[in-house]
Amino acid sequence: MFKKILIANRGEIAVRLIRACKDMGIKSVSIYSDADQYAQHVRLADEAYNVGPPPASQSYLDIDEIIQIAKNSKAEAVHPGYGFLAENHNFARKIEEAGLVFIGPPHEAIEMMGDKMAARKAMVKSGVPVVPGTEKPIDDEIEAIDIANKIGFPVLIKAAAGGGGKGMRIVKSNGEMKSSLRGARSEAKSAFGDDRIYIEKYLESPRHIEIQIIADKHGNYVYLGERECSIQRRHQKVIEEAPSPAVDSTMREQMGQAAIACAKACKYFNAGTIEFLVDADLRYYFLEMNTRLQVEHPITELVTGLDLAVEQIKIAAGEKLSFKQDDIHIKGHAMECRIYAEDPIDFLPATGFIHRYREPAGPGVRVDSGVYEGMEISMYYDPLIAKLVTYGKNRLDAISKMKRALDEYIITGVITNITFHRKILEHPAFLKGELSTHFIDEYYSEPDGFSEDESLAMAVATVINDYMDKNKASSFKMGNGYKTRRGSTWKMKGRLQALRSR
Amino acid sequence: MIYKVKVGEKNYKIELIMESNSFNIKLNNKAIKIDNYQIRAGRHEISSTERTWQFVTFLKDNQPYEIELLKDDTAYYCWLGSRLAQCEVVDEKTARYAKIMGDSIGSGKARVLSAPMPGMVVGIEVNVGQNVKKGDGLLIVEAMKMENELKATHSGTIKEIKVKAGQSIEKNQPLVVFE
Repeated sequence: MFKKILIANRGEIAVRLIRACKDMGIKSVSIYSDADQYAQHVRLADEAYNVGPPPASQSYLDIDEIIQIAKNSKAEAVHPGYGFLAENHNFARKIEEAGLVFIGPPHEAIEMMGDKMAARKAMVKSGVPVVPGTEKPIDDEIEAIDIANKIGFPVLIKAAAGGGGKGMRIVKSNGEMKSSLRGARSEAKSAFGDDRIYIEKYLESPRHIEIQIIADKHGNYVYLGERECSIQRRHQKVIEEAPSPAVDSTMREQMGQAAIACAKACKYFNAGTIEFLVDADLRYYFLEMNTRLQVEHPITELVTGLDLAVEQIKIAAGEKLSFKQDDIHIKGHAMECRIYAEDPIDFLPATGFIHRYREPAGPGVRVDSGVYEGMEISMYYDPLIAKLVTYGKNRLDAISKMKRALDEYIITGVITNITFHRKILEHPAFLKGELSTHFIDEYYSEPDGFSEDESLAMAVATVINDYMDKNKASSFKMGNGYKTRRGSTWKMKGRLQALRSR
Repeated sequence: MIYKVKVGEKNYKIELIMESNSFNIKLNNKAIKIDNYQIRAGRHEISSTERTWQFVTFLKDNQPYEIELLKDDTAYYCWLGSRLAQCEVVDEKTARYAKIMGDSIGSGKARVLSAPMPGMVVGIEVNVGQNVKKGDGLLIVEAMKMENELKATHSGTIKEIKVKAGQSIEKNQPLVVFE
């Protein structure tokens, strides 16, 4: 087994992977940009090295610098997390060439699945159903309109190198094609450095259901059930659950076998996810394969009892899987809410400093986070603050626990989507498990305002504060941080006691 | 002293009387019971930015509340749980004075589109002098690697575009001025 692993990431996933290392008795090495000097993943690692200035292109994406740090710190393996370099086949290849181990799939598999068009072709060959669409990148508007008319509007424009909803547009008519193509191309160019675009039929109200697979370097493949990730905004997942309310054991086995066929087609090993779109008649179509650990991996961990990050490390070290397909049983129900720094109404990203931070706890609650009080949520990186995960004996139990956890979660100073989650979880269609990727467009309305009692409580607090502020000269001073408290602790104490015994 | 308080869109008249070292609080002549009132000051200093706030916990009519109060020049920002409300408070004396001076609580907004978040302007879709309708796209701003189209909040004519493509912008920075 490895003695030391470098984690080429930041935020909650870096913290998650440091924990896996600690559980295995492996030393962890963090890298950090100038914007992350005080970050959680720096504090929790055994060693931490500066990797460059805040922009990701000069830090977390700097392949040569990261490999140099790995070598200097005598790390034997590199875990890429998700995002950044996780699906960059050059990174995986260069790590192997430097004599280190990449904790992930072979670079050839990343390359093949990273090219969404090549992946589609391979799936057709392996007999896995795909969504109707183009086989080649499209050149211009005229060609795009021609194809769209053939397969029928609406269509989806997607980046060949895409993922995470970047470089993606829905086009409903000829007239929208030009501006959508331009937007998708420029977004794809800046996100992936590759502006090739292709077109797919846009399924009207599909579910997004994905299969987690895991494979070792000895040809053993196991599927670990599905995750339903239909609740999305801006084509990005926000709520995920396992198992899916739509999938029964027969369908699970069929999709699982399709996923394994997909993994075998690219000689895959390590953890991977095959995403499918599922239509109203429960027919499934291959969407893409994510050749990395997913953000939403904890829900699979909870319903299978496995630690996927630990399994990844064992596989990279050459170990055989310690379980077979028959050993995998889905037990209970898990749900994940992605807590983002963003406006709960228009979903625009928010920035700022976290003032107070208190995580929920108690039975059935897991929080994977990488933030702390005083941390700045900057515009440089993904606005994911934490993944809030609950586990219950069934779906309603997991939902109840999630509501409780959301209510306990305190994040101030930065706007978050906590109220968004609360609202979705209360919707009758969600409770019935009637999900689709258009759920938010169809059902979501902005969160409820404050109740009368809550508003009045804030009014009272504001009045008391204003009074104290204006009368500070005569008694004590408020609003000046720790200085005041040190200067007049007795007076403060006296005043508080007076308030209490009112 | 009687205070006029605005919490979001709601208005309250609250009376606060200091009686022998204790507070007496009334809403419409009805007493509000406040117990266990505790204040903690909070402060962060990062780079050159300093933030201070008051964190108060109390029971209002035996129901627990945790509220964080941040004061800026004109208003309070109140965090209750993880939700934010804007509050304005003015005592009646000050209110009367403000009225004479022609200033009132919650005065009208200028017709300016400001940046809802920090980021970079990657595209400008309108020109000075152009008539736009509410909901028309004006600018494209890239933040957190996503492109966001900023739309007109009201119909009108563009008087001035205060930014250029490629320019980095701060939150609340004025971007487009309407006539």
